[in-house]
Amino acid sequence: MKKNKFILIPFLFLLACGSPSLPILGNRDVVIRKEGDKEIIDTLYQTIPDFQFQDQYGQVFTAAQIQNKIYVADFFFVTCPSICPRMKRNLLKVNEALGTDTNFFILSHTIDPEHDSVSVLYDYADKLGVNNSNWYFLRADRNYTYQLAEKSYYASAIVDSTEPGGFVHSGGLILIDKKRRVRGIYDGTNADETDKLINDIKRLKNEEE
Amino acid sequence: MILISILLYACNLDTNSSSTVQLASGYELYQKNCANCHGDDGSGLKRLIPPLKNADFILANPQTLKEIIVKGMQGSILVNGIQYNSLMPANPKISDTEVEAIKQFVLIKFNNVEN
Repeated sequence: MKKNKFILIPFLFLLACGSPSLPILGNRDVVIRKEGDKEIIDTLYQTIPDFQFQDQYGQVFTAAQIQNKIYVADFFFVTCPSICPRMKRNLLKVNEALGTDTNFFILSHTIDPEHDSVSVLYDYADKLGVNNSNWYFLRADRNYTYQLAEKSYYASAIVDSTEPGGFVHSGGLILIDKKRRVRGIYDGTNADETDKLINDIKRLKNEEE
Repeated sequence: MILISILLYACNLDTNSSSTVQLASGYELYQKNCANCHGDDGSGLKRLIPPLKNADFILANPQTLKEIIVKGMQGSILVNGIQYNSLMPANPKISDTEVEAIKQFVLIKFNNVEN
């Protein structure tokens, strides 16, 4: 009987706290500051830096537009003959579940800006049936995008002429919170992972800031 | 007479099992070569990638399937009333047997055979 009590305590604790928060991914620094006689320890998490792209409408798109918003980022290219269509099929599911929420965005970054001009991106979004105002298809200088992908989103993009389409890239859907911290990376080619992402976005929305 | 009947039955069994094997192989090859773009269920992707399931284009032009699988396709194509214009890459390394298996899978499993 005593054993049962011990099992019950953590169970009640979990019930009281709700489901645990999503992890915060990336590097972190510890900063110690003084407030009077007290030493306060702050944890500084890695965040997505300010950025500037051009969207499918030819407008400048900056980090200011996703300030205090939750968003999902991915990296793709329009002529991709391998994983991109599957990723976009799964992102359509995410968009269908959350696309009407004005506090949620999807940012799809092209890794082939030479081909994927503004008009190509617009046509791609249009044919994909994206007509809501919170899914943006973004382009910038190739190196700029690749560095942001690698250093901030833990994604990879490499030019490789031997690969179908001429590029190798990761198929992750990266979940970013309101403070621009990475909260999850999901396999964008996998339907179950996409369902988990949708569920985690809802959890993140309910998370207390 | 009985012997002939048994032989005919055996031949029929052999044909059925070989087409089942071909369909299974076609399914695997479809998953490997085609499903990323056309979808696991052959439904395509919106107005970007044409469907292969219940596709009037295939029903009207089944003989072109093999060539499209091997050589790819570019330019405009009308499928079920929608105009598609995406580039389909070629598959130069695929064998004749593999192409035939994919073709049979697409024709039979995606309802592209006239009744």
